[in-house]
Amino acid sequence: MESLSQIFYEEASEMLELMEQILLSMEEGGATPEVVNDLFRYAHSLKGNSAAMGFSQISRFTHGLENALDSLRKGSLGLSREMADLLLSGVDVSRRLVEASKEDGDVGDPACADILRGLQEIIAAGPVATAAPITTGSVAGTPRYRVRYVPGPLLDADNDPIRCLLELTEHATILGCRLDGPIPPLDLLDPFAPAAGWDLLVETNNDPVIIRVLLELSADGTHVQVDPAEPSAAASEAVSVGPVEVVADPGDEDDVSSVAVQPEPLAPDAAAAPAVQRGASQKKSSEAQTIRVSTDKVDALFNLTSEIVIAQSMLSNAQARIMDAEASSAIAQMERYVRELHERVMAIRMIPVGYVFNRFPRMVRDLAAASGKEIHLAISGEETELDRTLLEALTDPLTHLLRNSIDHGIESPEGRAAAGKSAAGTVRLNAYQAEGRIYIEVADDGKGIDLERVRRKAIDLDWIREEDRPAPDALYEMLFRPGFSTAEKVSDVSGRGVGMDVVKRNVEGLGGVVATVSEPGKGTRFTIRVPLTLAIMEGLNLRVGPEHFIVPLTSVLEAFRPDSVNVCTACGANEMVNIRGKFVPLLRMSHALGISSDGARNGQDLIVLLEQDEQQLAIAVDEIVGQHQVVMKSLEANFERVEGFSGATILGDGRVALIVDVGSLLRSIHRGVAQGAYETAA
Amino acid sequence: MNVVLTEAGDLWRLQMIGSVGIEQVTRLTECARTIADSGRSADIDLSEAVFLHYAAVQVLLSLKATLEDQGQALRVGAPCPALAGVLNHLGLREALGIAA
Repeated sequence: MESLSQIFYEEASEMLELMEQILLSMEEGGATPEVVNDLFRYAHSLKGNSAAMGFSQISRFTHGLENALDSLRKGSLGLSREMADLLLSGVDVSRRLVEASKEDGDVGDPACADILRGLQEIIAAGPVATAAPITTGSVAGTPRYRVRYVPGPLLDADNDPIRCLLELTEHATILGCRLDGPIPPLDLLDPFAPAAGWDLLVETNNDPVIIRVLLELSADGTHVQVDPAEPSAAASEAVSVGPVEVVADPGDEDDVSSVAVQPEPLAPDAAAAPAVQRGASQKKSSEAQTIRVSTDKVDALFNLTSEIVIAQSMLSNAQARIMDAEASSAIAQMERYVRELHERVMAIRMIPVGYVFNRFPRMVRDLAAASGKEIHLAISGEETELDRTLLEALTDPLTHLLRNSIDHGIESPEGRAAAGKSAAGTVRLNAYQAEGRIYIEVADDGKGIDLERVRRKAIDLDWIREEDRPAPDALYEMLFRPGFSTAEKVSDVSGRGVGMDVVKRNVEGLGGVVATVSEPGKGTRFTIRVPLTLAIMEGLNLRVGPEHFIVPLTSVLEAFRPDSVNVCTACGANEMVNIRGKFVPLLRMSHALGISSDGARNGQDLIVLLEQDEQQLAIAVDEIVGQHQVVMKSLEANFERVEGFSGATILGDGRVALIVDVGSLLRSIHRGVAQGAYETAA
Repeated sequence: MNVVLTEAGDLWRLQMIGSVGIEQVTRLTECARTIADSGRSADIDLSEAVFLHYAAVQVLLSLKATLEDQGQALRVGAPCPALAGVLNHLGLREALGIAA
């Protein structure tokens, strides 16, 4: 039951997300019949699933949504803004109901009634659809059931036996149907109370419980009895209805429902199967290509393969000492397989950024409406894949950058008109992969960052002096400091001075950076750059004395042994290396970490030039041991945070090596520069 | 107005347009009672109706029973194909006496 409920919650979450996406795409003009059908189907499935789980509040509410969606499906109503608002609110409330059911069970939500009432008013005001054609046909061997259906005592918008029976036709073929009693004359009739029940003969391969669930959903007090009947022997057999009167009219050839009593010979090929059944089998076939696996299982598998990679590395190391040719060949082959296994398991963790991007159209829509702006969100690169852990961690930073663009970037329609721009602003969300990293851009065509306002604010905050004129990049950097906001008034969207600092901190925590580019009057672009994965990386193994360090290969520019004349001292303390006329700060790892090094003893330093964010740093080491694919282990989880290092790994000989955080080292060096420790003139 | 009642000589003509939902049932019932009280036959025009709530169908069935008790007739004209399909499939076409 636990796994069943887990499946329910996963599917409910997916269906609600898809419903939201479809509604938003329909608002953008993407209301094709297929899309509307999908929308209806998701609501329908959610209703059925929640009913099966015993969550009547969810099933009732989604039943009401479904009725509204039915009007869209039948083409009688277009999706007005008002209806979209209500349906999107309906998705939100459904999410709340689903979420609440985890802890509190079958609880309702006061917003349900308002939403359904609003939808009913829209439907009542507009022209309404033609009824969907009913396709029926008897299929040999399909189980049949006699159904006694007594509708609930109060007929209303939900409790409409006709709609309920039409809904039933989506899951079962109604072979016979009749009212089970006379309708009284007018003076005895209560028009809002059903005067008779129904007797049905239905045929379906579905679990018959669906018949009861579907009919009972419409109202309290509905009574449904389902009893097995003899299945048809062959499709060509005349429909046997026993005591149930078949009243469908076989004579009307224009009427698709007449097929119900015009049995067709059983065709030998699959093409003759009913469309619904073919659709179901196709769906089953496509579903079989994917399985749901919990992320815990994937993570456990990944960790295990990571350990195998390390063990393999140790084996290779040991083999190198043995020098056995046969073992060497076998181990080399095993190494290839282990690497491929690891890459394939890694690939399981990679998911398209679209999983996160798809949450944003709704947010942008609602925030734009709340701030009285017209904003179009353009998404591209959503197929770009990123490690799941990274992607989840990027959700909050992206959310805040988008909110910032909406609130501070895009102008009001009046402001845009005054600036000669179209009334609707555009926020672009783009992702791509380059140089082994993932780039995610949040750009707007708004007013750009007012650097003078940023400077004035920085003066107010005592971050700089009145006469200081920081460079644009330094001013952009201030946007990401805690407590900074140039918003004149605090809004619900942003402007409380919290958030941008969290963006920076979170992104840097992922080994990434945030870059800002802005042009007055034209807009601003924030670019987040993160590694493809946090779990594995190509690194250069460097030795300093007895210790080994790993530097990400993507940060390494070159390595060389400098002449003594290439190294000079700035301000009497900090060393710099002259690399083809450019002076780069030099960090001796042995000094920084208090390790005695061979280079320091014999004057034979090896310099490794590193670069990140177009800033360079030279580090002095004793030896480049080699290039390895290393599995990153968290320092925080296994030890504690160590400044200047992003993690640790286990080397082939079993030793632990720290992984250098180049960005962190650069920042500490440049903090020194800002304090005047370095003369930066070249 | 989805339910329109007019007099055509000795007959009543009750026309239903678009979707006749639960909201229109009170109006429909009033029209049906007007017809029944008059003791005259009626024609029901469903040619422009696309959907009927079951409560509306029930009122029509009740009106039919009432008029037949009075020796009058309720004639229901051919609905649009989609509605005809629904009524036919659920056994209501014959109950309403709609000609094939």
